[in-house]
Amino acid sequence: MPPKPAPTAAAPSSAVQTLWKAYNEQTSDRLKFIDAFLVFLMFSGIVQFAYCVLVTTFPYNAFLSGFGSTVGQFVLSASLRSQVNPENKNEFKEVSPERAFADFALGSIVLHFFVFNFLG
Amino acid sequence: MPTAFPLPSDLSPATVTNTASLLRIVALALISGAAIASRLFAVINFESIIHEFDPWFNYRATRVLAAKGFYEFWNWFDPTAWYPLGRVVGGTVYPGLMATSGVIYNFLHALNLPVDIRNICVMLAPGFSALTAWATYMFTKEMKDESAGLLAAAFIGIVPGYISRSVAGSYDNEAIAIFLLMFTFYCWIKALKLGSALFGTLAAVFYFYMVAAWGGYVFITNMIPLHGLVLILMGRFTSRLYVAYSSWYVIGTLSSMQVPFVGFQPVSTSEHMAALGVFGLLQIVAFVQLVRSHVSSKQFQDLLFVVLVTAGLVGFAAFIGLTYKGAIAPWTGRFYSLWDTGYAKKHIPIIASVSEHQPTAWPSFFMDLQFLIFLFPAGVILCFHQLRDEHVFVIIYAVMASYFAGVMVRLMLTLTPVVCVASAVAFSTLLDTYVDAAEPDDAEAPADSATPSESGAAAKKTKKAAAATPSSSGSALSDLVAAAVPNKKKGIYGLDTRFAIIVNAIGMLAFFVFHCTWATSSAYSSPSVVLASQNPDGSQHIIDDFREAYYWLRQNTPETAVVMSWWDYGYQIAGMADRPTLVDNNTWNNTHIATVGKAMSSSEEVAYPILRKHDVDYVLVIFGGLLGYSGDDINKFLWMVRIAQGVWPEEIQEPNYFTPQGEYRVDEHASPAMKNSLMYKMSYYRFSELFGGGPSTDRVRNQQIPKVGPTLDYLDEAYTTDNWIVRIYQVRSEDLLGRDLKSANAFAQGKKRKRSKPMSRRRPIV
Amino acid sequence: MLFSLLLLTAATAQASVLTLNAPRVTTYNANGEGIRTELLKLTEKPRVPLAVGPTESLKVTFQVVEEGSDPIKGVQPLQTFLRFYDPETDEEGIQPLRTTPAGKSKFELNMAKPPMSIPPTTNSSVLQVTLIVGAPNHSPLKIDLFDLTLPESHPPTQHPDEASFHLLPTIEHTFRAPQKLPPRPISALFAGLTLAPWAILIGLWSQVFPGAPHLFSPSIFPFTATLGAFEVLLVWYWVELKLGQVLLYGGILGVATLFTGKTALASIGARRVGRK
Repeated sequence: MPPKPAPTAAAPSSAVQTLWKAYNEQTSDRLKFIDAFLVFLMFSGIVQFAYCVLVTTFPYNAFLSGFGSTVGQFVLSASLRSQVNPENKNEFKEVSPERAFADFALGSIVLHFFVFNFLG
Repeated sequence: MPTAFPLPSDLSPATVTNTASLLRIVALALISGAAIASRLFAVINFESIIHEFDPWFNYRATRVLAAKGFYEFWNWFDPTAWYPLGRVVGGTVYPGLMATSGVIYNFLHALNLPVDIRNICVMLAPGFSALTAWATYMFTKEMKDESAGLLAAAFIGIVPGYISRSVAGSYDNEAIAIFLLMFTFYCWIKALKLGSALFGTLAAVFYFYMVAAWGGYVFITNMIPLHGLVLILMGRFTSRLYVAYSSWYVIGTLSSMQVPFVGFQPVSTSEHMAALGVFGLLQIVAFVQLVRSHVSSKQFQDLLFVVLVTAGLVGFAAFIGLTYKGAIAPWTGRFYSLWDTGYAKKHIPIIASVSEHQPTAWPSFFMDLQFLIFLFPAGVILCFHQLRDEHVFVIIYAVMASYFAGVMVRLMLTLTPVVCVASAVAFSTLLDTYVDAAEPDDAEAPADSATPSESGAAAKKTKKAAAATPSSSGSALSDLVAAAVPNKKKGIYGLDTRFAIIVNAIGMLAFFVFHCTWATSSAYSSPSVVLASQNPDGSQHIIDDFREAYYWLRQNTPETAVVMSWWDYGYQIAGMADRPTLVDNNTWNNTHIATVGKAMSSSEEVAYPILRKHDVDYVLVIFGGLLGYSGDDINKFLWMVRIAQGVWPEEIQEPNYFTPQGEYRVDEHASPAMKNSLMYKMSYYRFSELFGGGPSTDRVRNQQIPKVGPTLDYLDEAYTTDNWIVRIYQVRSEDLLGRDLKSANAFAQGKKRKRSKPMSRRRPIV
Repeated sequence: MLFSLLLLTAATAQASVLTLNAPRVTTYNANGEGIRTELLKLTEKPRVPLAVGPTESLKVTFQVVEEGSDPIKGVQPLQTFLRFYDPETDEEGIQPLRTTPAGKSKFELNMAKPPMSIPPTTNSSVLQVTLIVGAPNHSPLKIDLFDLTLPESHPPTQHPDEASFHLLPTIEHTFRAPQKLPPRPISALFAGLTLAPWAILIGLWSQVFPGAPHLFSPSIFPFTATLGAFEVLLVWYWVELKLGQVLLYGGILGVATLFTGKTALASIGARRVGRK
């Protein structure tokens, strides 16, 4: 999951601050590495979506494959993050971090295959 | 510990496991063999031939694919269908079935096995039924254990509800779709259990295959999100659910859009919005969970409240706004007809006219599922008893599929797998309970010896006999009983009880096998292209009128001759006679079908210009009156009238085709509109001559046809088959002298035309 | 050309010319009293058209004779027609006439009961009445006799097939309008914006880079290389490859990746477990 970039309008700002602090303290560098990637994907997706809404949807399949690739990569990375997160260890008994990475690689390749196929 | 019968005690656990897995493999192989073999009745009783209607199109498309390659097939425009419009086949077809056959064909030819493409098409459905049995085994194994899996595999292998769509020669989308359905569900359950993106991706890939193969993929599109939603509402959200669902949804949705026929529907129609909604919900819930792990509960609740309310409002407003703006298409008519069974009859006669879209009759549940239908509720209740995540899935599946199977006959097919799974769970629990040798002990000690089961399949799990220790994962039935009678020691004593139950159970299984074999051989194996009847001496008589007529067309008419018939026969004419048709079973253009309906149901004079405008050379009707073949065009005639009435309500009115008493008759009391209609005339033209002056009886409707039959002025009888099932008429071209054909005909018969004074062009003003 | 000319001269030489003797037209009122009588000249029509009212009638008499014969020699033509033609509406009517062996003929038009051949007229139309005579061994004769006005009648009824005897309108195909591409600056702006998150990514990664110390070790590098190869293959697919080729190469690459991945992940796993 990405760290919350901006406070939600109505939420008490102290809550967000504590959240941010707690996140910085409790998260390992590896997870932050993934989180950075997630933030990147999120912004990339937002820009593409804004283009689609504001300018044109014209090559709709190209937009869908671009947007789909960011969303897909996002959830696959988020899955990887939750699988390698030591806190979730008892939920994923049969998924070691290596297995998680293999799943991630396979999922990404399949995803990219369909993305390129759809790009037109 | 007392046992009801002696158990071998000197077996090592390794031997037991090895023997059990060997037996499992053998049993699965036998089940596959039985599944394939029982589907071969059609080939043995008749021949290796493609069945029915839609398979003929699939077969024709597959031949194109095999001959010209995939990319050519993708761009295939068929000018002979829907003459003169043509049909973009590549973009209006689910190509999964043809692609599968094409791959098998090329693979076999690469191995230098020159198998005919027809035989691959004929044998594809039985082959995939074996795979279905295996997929069902895997699925049920996740529900209970291997023995239940084997039972489920055996059930689905021979259950008539599935055989009805997958006999050899029934080369239709459902042939591979049920395997894909079960395997996608298996991957989903597996992904959910392990939290593995690998299985999520696999589920997505098989979902893609399913989308490419069958329009029923929407069932998966809504089942999996529903399962996810129910799990969230039950408070069972886990990261595993997030991983499984997200990886399935994203890859599955993106891949499903690669199929041209589906196109952008997954992001634009209401049927697919549930999946998107659950996906969004999962993202929010997962994010909230992450936040919760970092902050205290008080702050968390503030945050949660704000986030949830905002997200809910935004999502709901977006959905309403997009539907309002037309970006999301509202539900389609076919979808409405699932909720309101009268909807189709009122608004879309073309959907209602298909017999497999009718609501299911009660006897057909028993016919298709036999004793499984009684075990099915028991199995669902057993699922409630354990209620792990995957059991929730089976329960939802059972509820949804039961409803849909009640609404439409063809959706019986989606109910069948879950019935097999649930019944197998129930049946295997019963066997587990009664085959287990352990007897209730006076001591409170648990009996936990692993015993090789008598049903020949698997090592049974341990079972607690004593009521006081209901903590095991074993028999649910005994636990139920235990809950009801708390203070009494319960269990099964002695061999007699066991024998009574087990003999009974085996008897049920045996009857099931008998029923399935009987139903398959007698009801579901007819190709319907070739009919069979019994001679007086009991031998089989083959009625081959359809092929006779189609081959006549193929060999006696020019290749460009346009044949008009009711849409049911369009695919067969295209496949067997290789002639252009006006309408066919791909019912995409209602107006075109209504035009044919209008031509069939109006008088010759009205129909003739329609026929000429559409370049029709031959008209083909199916007539069963001589033989008693009830699926003929006169019985379908009212649907033609209704569909035509939908487009031309002033010219065609359904009540005109009934007698004043409201009866549908074809004898001398038939209404004038009926008697003058082209369909009536073509069906009964020269019919009474056949009886040499005696009373001529229509054996389907049991009515006497008038002795002076209808006459035809605009059509010539071209060919009538042996048993009069197919009658082909040639449309006359315009008279060379410019007369209308009726007077030309009268002149040719030597009738004098009444001389009339020519009219002056000048009309004085009086 | 020469032949037809010869034929033509032969025909004119042989044919003798026909003419009319005493052509005369008279109109009568309802009581049979003559209103107007015209002796017709063959060279010009009467100045004023003859008018026949709704109750009046008209009578034409003439004799067909050979020109210049003396005494007058009547000829019985094979065909004799009166043609009524309305140049205004292009309506016409042909009335065949009976001639005696002496070539005498007459035509009576009673407007109370007009013959079928009279065409419909409007209130302004003037019918041109022409006599057409054909006889063997004579050149054909065509004489404009007089003009005639008749009372107005209903306009002619339209033939039921009339509609199909006109040119059909040309078929026009409507195509979907071509999709508009956004203006170039906006495209460029958004292309830049789409690339902008890369800056964020690199910035964030430079902050939290956990380090990959064993990336180029012999057990791991093949795995990353094959994964990279997959991406290259997919880009290649986008550019030029066909589906079948991609699946084939992908399959081969998949087997390799499976192998390299197994060794790489096993070594990482072993290191992780060993570190613990």
